[in-house]
Amino acid sequence: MMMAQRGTGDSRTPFYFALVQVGLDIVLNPLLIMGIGPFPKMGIAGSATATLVAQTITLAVMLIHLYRQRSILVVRPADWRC
Amino acid sequence: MGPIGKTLITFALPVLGSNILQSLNGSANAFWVSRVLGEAGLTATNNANQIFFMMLGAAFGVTMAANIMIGQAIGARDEALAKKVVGTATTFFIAISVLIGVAGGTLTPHILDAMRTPPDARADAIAYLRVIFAAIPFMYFFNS
Repeated sequence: MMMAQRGTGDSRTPFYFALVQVGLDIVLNPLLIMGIGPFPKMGIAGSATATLVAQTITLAVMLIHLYRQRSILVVRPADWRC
Repeated sequence: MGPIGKTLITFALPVLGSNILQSLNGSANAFWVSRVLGEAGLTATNNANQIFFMMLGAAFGVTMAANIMIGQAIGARDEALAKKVVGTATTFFIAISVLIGVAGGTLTPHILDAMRTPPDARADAIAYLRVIFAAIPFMYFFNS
């Protein structure tokens, strides 16, 4: 969805979402590798999990945003009739 | 429309910024992996990421084609066509990303062997890639 938004001529919104995603990934990496606080100690798999969690959360927020903006990039129930 | 140069630069700057952020992200992750898990861990994530990007790179070419078609439809103010491309592309990419995830999951040990990944990094690379390939449908959807 990052590249698709640029395809519609908007490169600014994906930049803000990249800020969120990279911020989450950088914070979650040490937390999940070492198991700080409530987080499990996952070692190398923790680094991959941090990337997975950061991108999935950002994707969810981005889809909510695109539905609210009535973006052309998301499929709505009404679109199935054609 | 306005001047081409100014439009191009204001469009390109956020793209450049996003790329810088991704590099920063890679460096920060490499820092923590090497600090906590040492040399073998860093070798493992580097080898693993090469496989990951090889799998994604092939599919991203098709994503680019779909995005060009969306751009053209929007430029021609043909909303129905744009919607059609979005619908077809979404279905196609969800299917293909699941396939890539399954293929990656099963082929990973063989690819690592073909790449001559050092034995002490091999187990870590497999543990790392197992999570990445499970995540591929989401990561692919996010990045495309």
